[in-house]
Amino acid sequence: MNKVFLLLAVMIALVIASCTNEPEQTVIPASKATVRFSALWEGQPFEMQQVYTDAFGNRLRADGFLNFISLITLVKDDGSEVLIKDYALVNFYNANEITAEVPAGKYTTLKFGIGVPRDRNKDQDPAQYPSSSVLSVAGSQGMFWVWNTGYIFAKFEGKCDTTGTDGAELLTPIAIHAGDDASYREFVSQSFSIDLTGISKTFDVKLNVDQIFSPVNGNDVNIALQAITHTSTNPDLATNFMDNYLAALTFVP
Amino acid sequence: MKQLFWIALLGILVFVSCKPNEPEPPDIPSAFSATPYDLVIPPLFPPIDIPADNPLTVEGVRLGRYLFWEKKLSADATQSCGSCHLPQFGFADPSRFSTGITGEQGSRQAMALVNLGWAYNYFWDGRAHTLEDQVIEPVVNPIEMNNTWESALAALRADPIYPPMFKAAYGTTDITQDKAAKAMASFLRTMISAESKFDHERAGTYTFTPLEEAGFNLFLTEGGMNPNTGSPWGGADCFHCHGPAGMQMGDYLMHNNGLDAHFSADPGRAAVTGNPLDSGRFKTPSLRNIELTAPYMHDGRFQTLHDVFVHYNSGGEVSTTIDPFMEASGGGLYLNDVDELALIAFLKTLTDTSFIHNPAFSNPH
Repeated sequence: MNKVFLLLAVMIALVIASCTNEPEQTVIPASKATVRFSALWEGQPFEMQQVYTDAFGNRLRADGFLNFISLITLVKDDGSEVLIKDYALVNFYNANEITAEVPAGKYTTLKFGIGVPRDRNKDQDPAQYPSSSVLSVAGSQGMFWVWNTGYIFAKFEGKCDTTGTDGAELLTPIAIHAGDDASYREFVSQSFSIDLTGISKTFDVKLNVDQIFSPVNGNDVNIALQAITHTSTNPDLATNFMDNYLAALTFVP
Repeated sequence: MKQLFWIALLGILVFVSCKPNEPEPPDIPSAFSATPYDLVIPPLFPPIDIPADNPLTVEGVRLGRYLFWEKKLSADATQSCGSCHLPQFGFADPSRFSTGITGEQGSRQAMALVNLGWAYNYFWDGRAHTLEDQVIEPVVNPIEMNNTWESALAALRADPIYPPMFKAAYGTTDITQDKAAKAMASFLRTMISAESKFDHERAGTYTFTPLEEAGFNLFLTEGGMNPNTGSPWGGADCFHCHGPAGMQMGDYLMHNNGLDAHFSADPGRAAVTGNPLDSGRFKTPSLRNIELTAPYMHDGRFQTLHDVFVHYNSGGEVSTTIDPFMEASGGGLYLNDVDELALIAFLKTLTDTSFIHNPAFSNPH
């Protein structure tokens, strides 16, 4: 009789044990990296449709500022690379954040491209991508010219007044559409040493927009002289814009 | 013996409790399944997004077609969607403003219906983001069908053809606004135009005439004055907004194309967002079937493609929201009469007569 009850007890224990779905292992927190893009004007958050005065005395406002950021990558201390995101459309003014789980370990560098890399840019049909992709017709949000000219890497649109008249309406269009393979730029951060094992870490990338519209490195983007480029129509302005853009990025590890 | 029974019972329990969790059965009649609709995506077009809660089915599309042409959706049973979206005019209205059942007219032109499954903004001001949302409005708009959905649904329930069609499409005779909207949206997604000369040229089965070719080149070339040379670029610069990416011929985004300097008559997108800097901005439509869909612009102000050409060639009206693609402050496009002929010849290659005559889109009543 006792054996029967012992058997019953074992069976009951088995029933209870078999109903438990929890894994019996120690939970190791995931290592996560977030890259946060934001834009500033003279140290303050850069806002759409707000009127700013640039280094040349031009009054301007942005109505849209959209950018392709590609191959966002963290480099480990052994030199291996971890891709955070392949392609992203970043508007900067909404403090875009891109997060990915990364392997545990020490990291030393963040790098990314501004634009779409050569092998995905020209002679590509965006129709090949589903609309969930930023490289697709709908997903690229107008950041595509035509097959042979490829994607627009950075699109800054707005209005300005370059007459120096206080209170004048902003009527002159700004349309800086930088693209083409020659406009691709690569940002590589300064070196750091951060162990991401089991932690979540945010890396801040800030674009100082005021520095784009200033004589940085002698590359003037003076909208009083020229405020429109579709790259092929004014390659110098596109080149200066992208050079200034790269120089205007700051990184806080 | 009794003990053995309990042991056996517990043994069974052990095995039963070890089975993996079964998924919950879906909350639909298990016997019902509509026939999947095989939507053929034309060459060079992107994949189409079909909402997960509204899969395309043969029965749903059929129901949607009947509803599209159903005059009982209007309060006095005199107008259907097809009353203002006429096939021979590219499913648009040749009148500047459509007249609703009360005789009242709106202030915007009925938009052409074509390839809507790839769009993501609907109405001229982009206030609807799905076809399922878009189709609901005309039924209750006082200057269109001037009905209530309750009344429209009652009319459908009283019509003997509809309960079985709803049952075939959705497995139930319960006729609801949601199901009606889904069916109409499904029908609209099947309205694909991809047999124009332009499509065939892209596919290599048609060769542009020299004039059409010249027009296409103008379409794809920058326009306005080149400040570096002091000479015009020589193009029409259509492609920035009406680009051929994915064969759409429209970016469906909101632009102010310089029709007006002031926007008191119709603020456009600003009426939706409340943002004055959206004033004068309207959805860029596809140019497909543009030859058939006169008059043009959101308010149908231009009767002919010549009028449209004259507008763009002028550069439009300067305003604080005019799109930078317009060449208003640069003196316009500097195109001539020959350029106009070429451009219009190209635009006419976007006409798809097989689309407008497709019996699958015609009035089934």
